[in-house]
Amino acid sequence: MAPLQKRALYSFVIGLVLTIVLIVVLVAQGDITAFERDLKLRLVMYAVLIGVPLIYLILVNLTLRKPTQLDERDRRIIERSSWAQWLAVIFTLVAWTIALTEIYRDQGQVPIAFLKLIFMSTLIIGTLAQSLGILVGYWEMNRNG
Amino acid sequence: MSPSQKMSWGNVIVWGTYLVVLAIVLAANGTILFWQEDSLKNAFFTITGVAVAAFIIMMLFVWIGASRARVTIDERDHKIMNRANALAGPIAMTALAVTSLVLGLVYTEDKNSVMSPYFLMYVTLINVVVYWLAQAIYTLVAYRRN
Repeated sequence: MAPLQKRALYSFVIGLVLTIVLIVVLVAQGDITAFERDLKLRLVMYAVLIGVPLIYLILVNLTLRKPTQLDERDRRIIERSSWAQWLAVIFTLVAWTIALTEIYRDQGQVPIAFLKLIFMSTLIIGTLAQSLGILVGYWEMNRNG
Repeated sequence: MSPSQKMSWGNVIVWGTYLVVLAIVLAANGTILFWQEDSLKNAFFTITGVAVAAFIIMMLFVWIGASRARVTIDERDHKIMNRANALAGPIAMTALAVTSLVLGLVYTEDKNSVMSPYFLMYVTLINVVVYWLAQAIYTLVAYRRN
């Protein structure tokens, strides 16, 4: 396993665990906007929001600075994974738009608390998608030779 | 001119014009919350619809032209496209953050606890348009340099 591939895998797994923890906590509260009233819940959210991109930054960007650790192939995979990141962000936004429009169709208004949630989810999913994009890049390269 | 360059020129013309026209219309009405007035909402959807139609027609022309001329995409094209995508992503994310922040502030200033579903559409649209523009501009600059 290449150093970048290994680190992307760690970053993805840790990020995914943190995201699942956040989803479980929000679902357990019974109301997805409960974080607006509960400081502890907000702290959990901020921890995940900062944690996921920070883990990616440390594992993939900061500890892979030596030129010998990354070759041309790795750099190309990182560049290509940005496409996956953007697609994930767009699909997240589209999913939020459709879901909230449908859920709040009768009221015609969406609670503003969702704004924070949408922004946080795009950041978290964007980072996870970047790690996943790197893993898929290696998988494709190994498959195609 | 390669298909990527043609597509980039098309993107700059279509989405650049779209942003300028939209900015003028919103500035003339003195608000960025287009959904609050029916006439402004209609204008917004008409401008967006025309831009999307122009984008699809432009893509079709480039695609048909490339198929007829049997143009092949080489290593340099791939490299430029990958770099363009890598650069456009963070720029689009920044645009998303700024739009969310500005609109969030507008709502908070108005002491609102609810927002319009159009808000989400707005944020998504800004993200897509900024991404395409950033990608297209970088592609054109990269081809000029190489």
